[in-house]
Amino acid sequence: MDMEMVDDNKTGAAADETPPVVPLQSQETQDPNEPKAAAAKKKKRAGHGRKRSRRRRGGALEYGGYKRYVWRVLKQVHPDLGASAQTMDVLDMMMADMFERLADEASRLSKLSGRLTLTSREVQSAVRLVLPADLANHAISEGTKAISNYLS
Amino acid sequence: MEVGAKVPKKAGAGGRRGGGGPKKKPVSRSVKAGLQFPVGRIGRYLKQGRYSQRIGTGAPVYLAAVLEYLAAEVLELAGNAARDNKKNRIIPRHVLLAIRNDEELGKLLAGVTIAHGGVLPNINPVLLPKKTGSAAAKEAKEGKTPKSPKKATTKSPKKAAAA
Repeated sequence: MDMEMVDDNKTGAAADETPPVVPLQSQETQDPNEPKAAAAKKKKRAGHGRKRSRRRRGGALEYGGYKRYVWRVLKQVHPDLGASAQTMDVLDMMMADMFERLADEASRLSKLSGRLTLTSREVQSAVRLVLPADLANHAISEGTKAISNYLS
Repeated sequence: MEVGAKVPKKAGAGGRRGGGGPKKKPVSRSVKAGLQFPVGRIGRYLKQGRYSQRIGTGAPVYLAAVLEYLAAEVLELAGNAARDNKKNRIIPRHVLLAIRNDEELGKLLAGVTIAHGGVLPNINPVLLPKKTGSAAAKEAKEGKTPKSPKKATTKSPKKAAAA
């Protein structure tokens, strides 16, 4: 019983003791004999060498968007007109939506035909299915023209 | 042929680099296809979207051309709507008016909501105020009254001379 009491007292004393004060890193590095101005210079030099890397570290894929390309097309169609930021957002989302619709349809077609490759033929069929009559015909002629330019 | 003998190199054979000649300037696929929209980026989206195991070289070119055509169509109509409203900057309202007033684009984007677009101006004729009985009688009365005799008799000097 007495032993237990002694042990308890010991542990209590140990708990009451304050932990030794650990000096900060800046205090450690600074020499007491060194003047303050020199220490400040040292600090500056240490920070100066670092360069911030502009490269992204992993994470989510960056979405480039279609804004700059929509702007170029606008300047082709109406050189004297501009577009507000909200308009650019709306058109960017519209392009992303149309891309998704066409790509989904083309993917479905390639899977149904039992092929592993998504070619321009599937995209053409997707355009026929997704876009309404006259719009589809014009879009197909544009696509065919682009392919022929690309291959020549 | 001896084992240690050296084989003479053919003139101009420089492997894949083309014999160290002048370096070719890189040309983007969009430029090759004569497009504004990015062929390479669309190809990357197709690959990363897992739409198919393999992607043909023509697919992103075709898709970029179609997207560019759609963008040009919408922008042309929206620009015309902006001009009609005497504005030199397209706003979402102009885009909405362009899309909803066009039959095919309206059909394509029927289920789409455009932020800050509003609605088409439309009032059902049934809701317009009817003409009251007194107003109708007044109109009929005005229509029946003959022209004043003074006006009927007086003629301009030119007409009088012609007569």
